[in-house]
Amino acid sequence: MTGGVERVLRWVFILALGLAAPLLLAGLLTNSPRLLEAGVLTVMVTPLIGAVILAVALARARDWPFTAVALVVLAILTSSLYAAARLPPPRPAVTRHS
Amino acid sequence: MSDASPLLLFVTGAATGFLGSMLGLGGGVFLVPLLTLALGVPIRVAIAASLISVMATAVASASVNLDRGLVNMRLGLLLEVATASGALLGGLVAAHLTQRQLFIIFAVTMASMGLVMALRSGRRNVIVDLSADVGALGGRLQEGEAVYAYRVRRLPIGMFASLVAGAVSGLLGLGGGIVKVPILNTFCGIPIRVAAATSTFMIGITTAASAFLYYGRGEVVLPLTAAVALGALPGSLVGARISDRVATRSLKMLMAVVLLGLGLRMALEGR
Repeated sequence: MTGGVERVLRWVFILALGLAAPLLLAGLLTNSPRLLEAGVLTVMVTPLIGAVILAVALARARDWPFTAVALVVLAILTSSLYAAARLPPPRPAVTRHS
Repeated sequence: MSDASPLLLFVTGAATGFLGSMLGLGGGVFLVPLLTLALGVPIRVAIAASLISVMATAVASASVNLDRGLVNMRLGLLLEVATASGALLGGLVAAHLTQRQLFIIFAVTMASMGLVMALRSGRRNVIVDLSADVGALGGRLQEGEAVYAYRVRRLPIGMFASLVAGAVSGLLGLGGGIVKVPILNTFCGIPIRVAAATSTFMIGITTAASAFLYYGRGEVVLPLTAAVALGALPGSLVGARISDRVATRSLKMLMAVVLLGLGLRMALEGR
């Protein structure tokens, strides 16, 4: 891997936070659940995008052992998404000592 | 749910992000106790907010560390297989634990962190001979004008520490760096700055592995999480910037005592 992927990741991270922070702030100021959700989800998918970029960079460099490692990491993240999607509908948050 | 105003939550996020980042702990270790003990937020909601907040600050810190060339991405990816597995497991197990059990586990973890903080070695582990073979996972780093090399040793210990760090992250909403960084530095031969930067780079992925589960269970309370994460971002960036100047040994010892005290308070809350 060269410094190229570091630069790409850095810019993706900066762009993601540059998008998430205004969404979160606007959501708080306007009390909009949609904006808040968009901001939180932007933060949550950023590491997933970072892992995809790393896997692609390693594959392009024909570094197959580490491409496989990156794919395993992506598989773990995907299984977390899958498990989250299969959970029953959320209940309201419980009170303090329940 | 807590009646805390968004401004108070923002300040809480900023203060804990600042303190955690200055001490190299990540903000979650202070955020979860403050949200639960001082603001009355249910512990699962506090853990979920902490995960998102830690993720946002890790992404911000990683963008700085990537620029400095401190992140060892191959090593980070390999360790992340264990960390993300641990985080996924921790996130799944957390759903089956009672609030009392979570308080107790948090208390024990905080007390252990206090001890680690008091004892951590901060070895440099560098090789001056640049022609030395650093292997597939080793690397080079620049400190001022000088360039050093390092080799990765005892990888299985690093993988095990990463698995534990991931489980701690998924269970308690922490980054897990406090578990991983001292072990990577002390046992695996990785310079402390590289270990810390690589750990921070990994934390985004680690927290994502369990955050999806908390989100799916409806434990991410949006306004609370947004206010805390928005505060943590500037707090942690300022903390990281001044960490070299103020994180002296005596301050770290003081914080070790604070962690032990908070651990005791959390244990009492869980009784």
